[in-house]
Amino acid sequence: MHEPAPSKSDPLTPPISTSDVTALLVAMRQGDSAAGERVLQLVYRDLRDRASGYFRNVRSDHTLQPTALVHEAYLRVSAGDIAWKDRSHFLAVAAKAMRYVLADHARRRRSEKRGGGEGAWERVTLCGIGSDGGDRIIDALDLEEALTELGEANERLAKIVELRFFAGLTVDEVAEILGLAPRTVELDWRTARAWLRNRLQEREE
Amino acid sequence: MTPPEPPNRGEEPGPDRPTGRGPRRVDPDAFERARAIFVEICDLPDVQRSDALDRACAHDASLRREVESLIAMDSVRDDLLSDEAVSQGIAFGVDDLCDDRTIPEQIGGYRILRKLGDGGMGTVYEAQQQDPHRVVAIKTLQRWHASRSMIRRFRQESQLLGRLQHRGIAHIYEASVHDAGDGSPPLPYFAMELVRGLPLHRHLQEHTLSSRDRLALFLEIADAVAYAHQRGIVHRDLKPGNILVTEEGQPKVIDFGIATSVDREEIGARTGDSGQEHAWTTLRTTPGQLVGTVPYMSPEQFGGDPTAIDVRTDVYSLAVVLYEMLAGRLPHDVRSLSLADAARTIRDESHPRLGSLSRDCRGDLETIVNKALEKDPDRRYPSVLEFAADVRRFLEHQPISARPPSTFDQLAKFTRRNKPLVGGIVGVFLVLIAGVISTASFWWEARANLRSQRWATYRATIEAASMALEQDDVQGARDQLALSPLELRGWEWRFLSRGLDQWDAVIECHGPVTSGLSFLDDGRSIVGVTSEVGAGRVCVWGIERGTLTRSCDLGATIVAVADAVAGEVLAVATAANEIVLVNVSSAQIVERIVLSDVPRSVAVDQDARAIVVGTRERLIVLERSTHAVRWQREAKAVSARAESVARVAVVRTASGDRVLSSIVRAPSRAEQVIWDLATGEERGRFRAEDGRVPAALAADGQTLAVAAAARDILLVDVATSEIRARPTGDREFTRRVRFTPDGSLVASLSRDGVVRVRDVSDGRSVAALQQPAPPVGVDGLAFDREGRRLATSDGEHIYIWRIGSQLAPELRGHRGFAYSATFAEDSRTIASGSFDDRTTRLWDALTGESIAAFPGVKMALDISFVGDDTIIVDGVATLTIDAATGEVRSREKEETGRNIRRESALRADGSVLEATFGFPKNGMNGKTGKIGRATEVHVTRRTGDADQDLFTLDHESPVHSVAFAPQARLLAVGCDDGTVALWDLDGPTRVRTLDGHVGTVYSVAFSPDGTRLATCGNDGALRLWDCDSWERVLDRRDHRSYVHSVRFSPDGTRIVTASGDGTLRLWDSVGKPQRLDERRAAEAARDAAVRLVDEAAAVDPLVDVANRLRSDTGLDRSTRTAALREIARRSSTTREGSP
Repeated sequence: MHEPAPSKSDPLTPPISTSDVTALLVAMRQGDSAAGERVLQLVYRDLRDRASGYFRNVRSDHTLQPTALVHEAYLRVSAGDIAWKDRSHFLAVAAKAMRYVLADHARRRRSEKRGGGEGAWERVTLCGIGSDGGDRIIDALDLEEALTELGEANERLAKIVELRFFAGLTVDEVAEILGLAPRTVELDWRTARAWLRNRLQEREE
Repeated sequence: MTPPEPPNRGEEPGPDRPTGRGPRRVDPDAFERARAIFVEICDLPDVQRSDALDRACAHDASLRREVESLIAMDSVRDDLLSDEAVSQGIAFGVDDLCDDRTIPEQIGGYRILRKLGDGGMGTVYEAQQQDPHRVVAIKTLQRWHASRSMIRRFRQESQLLGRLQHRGIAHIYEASVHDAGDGSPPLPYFAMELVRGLPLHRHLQEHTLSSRDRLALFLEIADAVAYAHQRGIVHRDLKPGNILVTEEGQPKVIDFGIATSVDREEIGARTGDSGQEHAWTTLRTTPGQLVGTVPYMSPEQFGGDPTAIDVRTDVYSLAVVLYEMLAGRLPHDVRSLSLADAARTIRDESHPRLGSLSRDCRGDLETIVNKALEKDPDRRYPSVLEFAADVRRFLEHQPISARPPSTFDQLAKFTRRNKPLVGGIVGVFLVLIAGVISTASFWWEARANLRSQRWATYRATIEAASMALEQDDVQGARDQLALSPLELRGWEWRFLSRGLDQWDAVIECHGPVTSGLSFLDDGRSIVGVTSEVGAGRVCVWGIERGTLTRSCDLGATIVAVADAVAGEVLAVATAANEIVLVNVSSAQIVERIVLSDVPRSVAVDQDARAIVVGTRERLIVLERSTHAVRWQREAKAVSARAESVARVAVVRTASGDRVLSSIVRAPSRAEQVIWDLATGEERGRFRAEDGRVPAALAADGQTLAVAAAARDILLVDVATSEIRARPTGDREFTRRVRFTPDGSLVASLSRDGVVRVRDVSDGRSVAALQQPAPPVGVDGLAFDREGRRLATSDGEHIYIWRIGSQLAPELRGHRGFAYSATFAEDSRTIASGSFDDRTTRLWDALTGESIAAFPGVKMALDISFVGDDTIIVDGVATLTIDAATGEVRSREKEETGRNIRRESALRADGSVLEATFGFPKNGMNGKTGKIGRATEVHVTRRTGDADQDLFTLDHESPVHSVAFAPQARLLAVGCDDGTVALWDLDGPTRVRTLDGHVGTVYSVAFSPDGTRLATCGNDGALRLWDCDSWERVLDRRDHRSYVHSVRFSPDGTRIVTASGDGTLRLWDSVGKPQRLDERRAAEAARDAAVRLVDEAAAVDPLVDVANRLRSDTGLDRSTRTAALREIARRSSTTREGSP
């Protein structure tokens, strides 16, 4: 009851308001695909705007953490009072939005650099922030293309990768969102991962 | 291609897999076939898997290839898609290291041939050296920005490393700094022997080596490490990734360059002056390397004491390597654990016996490895030389020096393991700081710059303490705060130290309280029983004042006390075989009932109609009015070997009937029997064996809490004896368990004084409260009626705890976004404004209580006190109101545009500086009024009436907030792009830019003593910066939305923040005992003040009373403050305190 009244227009309120998103999420859960699309747009716009702040920052030690951004988006939008069920929907949408944001940025970056002439190009990459994968990197566009291919072969697997990779959700959380057994998600994740590794390796060669 | 006959689906084969770059189509059916088979067989053991694969893909080579490649890829462990990496998170960035153009042609005297790889710190190249003519590896430290003094030391250091010449160590030829001469920053690099080989674990995968071969290989490695030790260099980061094996089978230990010298004196003697930022930045950007290292880290490396690390650290790491070489797995597989859990595991858990994993390793070999893997360095081999010597003896079938541990040793180990882990997370941070980690530059910087190292230590301890407190790990936080370098401790250290006291109030008891704690219904008093032999007393203390208000002497030793006060009556059983009923309101004995037997337990029904007594032999229910026996049961009828009815309690269920819980104790078992209190009919029972002790019955009459001897409680359904939840977490035996009156929470008190509060529905821990002293011989634990507060005792004090209390408590009341908040000059009162609820609110800065709601304005951007009497709120209009009565003295709508904001400050020379800036009216895109551009701050000097324009400060993005440091020597400017610019106003020169905030910095404030700068903004963070080094010393995200305002109290002890989440938060740096004294003094002044106001208000209007009080010089300050506050309470435009 102490939450800020959402009907008022606060100049500092983030672009998406809690009430809008909550209502849209409810509609989406009830099967309104237009609402789902609208949430995706809102979240995409929000994430893109946030991300652009990071992208502008040319210093190399300023990296963008997609999962952090997705969760921040959730916190910003929800002020903490979105029901769990809606939270999962939100994260599912946000994971997809994040994927688009990164892919768009990588594409733009590449085309800009190519325009720069003299074979100049720049890779936009993903790397680990606190893991054994620390030294490994993945080209963001390679991953995007591989994920698109995977989605064509099996949409569910691509979805699981999105949720794991871009929203940082655990297997159990993904299972809850997709209404699957955790074991199924675990196996799907491993399949998708193995397949992606294959595909990414082919691309590097 | 062979014709397809897939076993599960008879469909067409997929097309041949296309190759090459670019998008292409994947055949969903082929994919599905491969997926289905993969899912079936991926977890089978190798042998079975290959059989299954044969069957499933009998006639489809392409399918088989696909599945096999999936299986191969499934076992990849260390890439970005691994579970470890995914759970840690990924980062997205422009990889400029990969940019072709950044491969330099030349570094120092070396011609670069090609890039070998990228690391967290920089790049490794293959390069050609001219003289001598050889191919070398160049390892650059790209992200390391070197100062001149650091470069000098870097060169000195390289000479030390260059002296290591051993065939088992990759030789470092040179460590130097490359200056390209094109203005780019100097680039430090190592030139070292190029090792063409595989990392150790890959080598083992690709070559079949017998155990003896592996041991021989290990001895080569150990010899190389021992060689370095003899020259005073410890590696500190030995792991398979740092051991390469050449094609000839020669192991080469690499990265010895990052080990520190054993000579610690040197570290201490070195001081430096710059580069404070780097250690931390590095720590932040390359944690990946840490995790890769963790499984090989020794327990002492988690301890945070750099002096504890010596050659025996390498003994341990080598032992992990050996264990892995022999068993094919790590002694502690901590790779998927969080850092904290990994630290805990390595420090506390024992590893699986080597002999249980590999038959070959039983006996002496296992003994050797165990000795090298001892948690305590003193119990390990004192050197790698001796470790290697034992391995050699084993190979030569000679007696080894290590002895298997005796039973006594194992016992000692057990005790050690059960010592509480001190801040696990923390240790890891400290490890980094101690320079243990493998990143050359980090190590170098930490070492090169003592001052920066101390700051890094300070920041790490603060951060770790902050995290520990979040997790209720008070002991961990205490240890961290104790480790903080003394000279750097500031506001944030005191703020966190305050958090070590979790209690809300303490009452001194002046007598040994043993039990019977119970809140009275008004919530303002607490009952306890003090027991001395022959002289038990029932006492009532006022919680607010902390004083004994009444007591009742019983004149006998107390043997049992009822769990709770029932209808103002507390029942006590005495050694004189009496049940005494005491009225706690009057402190009078209302009844004595003499028994024929020794009472062991007592309880009273909530309406005090029935009295329940447990004795050695029986359970008796008496009518209170007549003392007639309603019903009774023999203890032996419950349990044949019953010794006593040890505990009784009456619970009223939701349906209104009363059930009696009794605990019948017998040797090595206890039975909890639930009875209908009215009829004596048995409703259910639970038999607890194996050290389990039934403890409490929840209000549903259905849920039992059972204390399991081993550190946890079980929630059991009494009807079915099913265990409903099994919360764990206590480190010590549980002494007492209580449910809240509504049965939603359960609290357990453990022997070490930790009260753990858990949610009954899921067993989740809600709070862990650490009593300062353990509850020796004391059993008290009580919830208040609302289930929001708890009382415990250590025998001498009663502690009152508030469940869900926060480090920075929330002040709730605004119905809308809280925009501004500030303190009165006496620092005792807070005033706040909101964006949209048009109220000005007053709060008690001591208790956080809401005092009053007064008129306000929309969009209250700024609020300030003039003295303690007047409040000015600046929003769409400027409002001046009386701080005591809320009377509006003036209301002005600003003509010039409300977008202009000013801050002013007094300089040491008596002049006043004023900073003016255009505050964008509507967020990001507003107009800026007529003062110029939104990015500018205009500074003017006022002397007398004359204003003199001094200068204009320009910024990269619009300005949102400014603050003068004390005496106006510095100006901090918070901008839209998340930066805070710091200007030295004597220049003016821009001395610093603080970044880190994401989005607009809405508010900045200096502490009155000028040592700290507080900043906050759209990202919801509150940050504190040290005003000397400009290190960030605190970063908290307690608010759930943006933080719009931050202010220090004039006495500098507190901070108040106002947030878009609708709340204010109060951040206090003064310890709870002192604040408790202040609260009690204020409480004491309140009675007199209320009387004063009552009398005066009967005659005059409150406004007049307030004015008179202010001018009454005879009145003491505390009474006046309390009286004015009382007036504010009564003047409040909305009634406070109503829900």
